[in-house]
Amino acid sequence: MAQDSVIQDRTRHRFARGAIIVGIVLGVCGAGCAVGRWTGELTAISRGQAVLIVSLILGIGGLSALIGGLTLHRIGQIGVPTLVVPPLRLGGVAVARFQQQGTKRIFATWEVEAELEGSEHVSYQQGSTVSRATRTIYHCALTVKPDDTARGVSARIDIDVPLDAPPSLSLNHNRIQWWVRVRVRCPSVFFDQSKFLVTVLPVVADQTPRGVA
Amino acid sequence: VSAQIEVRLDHRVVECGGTVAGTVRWTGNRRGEPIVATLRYGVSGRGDPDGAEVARVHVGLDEAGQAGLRLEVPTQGPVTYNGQLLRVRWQAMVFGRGGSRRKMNPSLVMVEVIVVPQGWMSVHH
Repeated sequence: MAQDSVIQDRTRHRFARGAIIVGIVLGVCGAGCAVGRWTGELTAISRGQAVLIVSLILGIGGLSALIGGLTLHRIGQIGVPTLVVPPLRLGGVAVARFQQQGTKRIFATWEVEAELEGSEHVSYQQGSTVSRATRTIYHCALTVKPDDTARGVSARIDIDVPLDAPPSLSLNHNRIQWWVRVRVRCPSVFFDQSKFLVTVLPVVADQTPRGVA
Repeated sequence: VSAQIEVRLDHRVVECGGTVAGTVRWTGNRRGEPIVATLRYGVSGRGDPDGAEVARVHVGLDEAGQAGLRLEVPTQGPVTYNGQLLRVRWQAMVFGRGGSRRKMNPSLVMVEVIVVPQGWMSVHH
């Protein structure tokens, strides 16, 4: 018997780390350019151009680092979106649980929307480049039942999997993916959408709902 | 002259985790080369092709004969599918190599199989 899957959306972490790394790299480059210009090693550009270039590099770097830092700070406040989902079978309804930790101040009032999306993804070699193509084959809003909890957002999501849809497929160049997208609407959290890659098994469900306790 | 092979499947539609079953008859396998049956899937379409052989059995070595055929379909599929960008097809193949070895002239019989999800038959029939 397959177990429930715990899926976390950590794209914000990756974005934040990437922005901070870009900021640090650009900061070092900017400092290097500044030192090189003023010590006379870079003579091909004028002092005015050098000031402009260094300011630009340092400005973009600083902005990237700031965005990354703020994103990390925000993650610390609202937590990592998590979806606990039972095995998904064709034609069945699975009850998943969505959770996102956070303080009462941040999540004073909130509303959750969710949708299920299925899509085909292919990749193909054209010369030395690899091209990709995607087609959405299924898209449907899901029923969400909010849970009252002391901290953060918690909701039960009924995932209706269509009977005649293709199950998940993951090969080298060809994939069929199923995503659950969850959007938390709340005054202090601006456009907070999470997405979770779920697996649809090549099994037709019996018609009784399965879910997490 | 290549071996003459005839394949008859009990069912063309098989569920994931099920078995492709049938009968293979052959004649003219004069050199006693193995008659081999395989089950494979292939994915074609806009993307680069994918595919794999999932089962292979030796059916017989005699010059002529008849044998049962059983090829297991994996529980994870994939299922037969005809989508917008990709297409998944399954084939059972039986082949031998009768006549001269130099000619390398294999007999090959291909039968398309439709693989459906587990439990699909009980819902649709």
